[in-house]
Amino acid sequence: MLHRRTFLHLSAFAVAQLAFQRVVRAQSYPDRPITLVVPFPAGGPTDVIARIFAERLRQALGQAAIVENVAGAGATIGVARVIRAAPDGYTLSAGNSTSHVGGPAIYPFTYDILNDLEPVALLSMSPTLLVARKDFPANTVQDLIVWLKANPGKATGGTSGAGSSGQLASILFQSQTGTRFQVVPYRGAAPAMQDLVGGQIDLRFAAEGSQSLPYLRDGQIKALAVLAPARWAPTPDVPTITRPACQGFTCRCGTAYGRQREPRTTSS
Amino acid sequence: MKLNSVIRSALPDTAVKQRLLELGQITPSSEQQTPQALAAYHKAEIEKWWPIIKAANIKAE
Repeated sequence: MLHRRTFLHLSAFAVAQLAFQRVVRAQSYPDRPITLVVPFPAGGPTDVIARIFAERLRQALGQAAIVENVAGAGATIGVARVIRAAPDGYTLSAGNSTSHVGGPAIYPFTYDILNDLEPVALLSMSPTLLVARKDFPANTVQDLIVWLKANPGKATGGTSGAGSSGQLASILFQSQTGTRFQVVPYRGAAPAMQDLVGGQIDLRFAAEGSQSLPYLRDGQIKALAVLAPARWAPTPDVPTITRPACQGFTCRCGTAYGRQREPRTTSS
Repeated sequence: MKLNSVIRSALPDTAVKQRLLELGQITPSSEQQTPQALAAYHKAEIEKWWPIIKAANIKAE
């Protein structure tokens, strides 16, 4: 059965590619606006990046590239919207590991996230930052581990939602350091950051570090570590986390379009 | 593929680069920009995280 599965997988790929090539060969693509579906609310980090690329697509293709924000259910509603659309290169999915890895694992999702989308390109990357409310007792990761061990389960860490990469980082950090804190899922990165600034929560593993930058500059929050193997240019004073297992949280923003879901069997 | 090349041509564009830089974004290397590299990365992330998510019993809100 392995061969059959492999074959079907290749077929699906070929069908999507053929359909697309036919469109391109006709020299007419794109002859109408392209929709770029962002599965998060407008104004969030992925939305901002998608809009930069949408503008460039408009210039390069001579057609409008419209960003459509379809948020909800761990970003899976917006991803499903693209998979259901015709696989013709006119409906693209922008996203990251929250929408394309975590969300589909947790929320009811009837599609095959790996095989029902045709990858287009990785757009940009930025690291996850471990940030804390400005008056939190710990200033370094070492301090934090000591404090958490002395106060098990007392600290609160906000995430942008169930299945978000911030939540995954929170879980991995606790298991790697033998610590415990309460993970509080929010509906998106913006409200989680608001509560950190307001001091209602203690910590945040903030995927897409750019979201933290204005608050760090104003001293409204503080950064303890970058969850990447190297320091990050905009925060040169913030050290990298030393545990290698916790370094793999570079938030990658990519784009894809829907594949034809059921390859038609032809007589040939 | 046309879309991939349009996006790849966008990355060295000065205006795009400047805006991404302001956001602290790191531009992927040209090997990372291929559809194949994105597919491989996506698959690796799923293979890494889905077992962890299941083991941690994370539920939808």
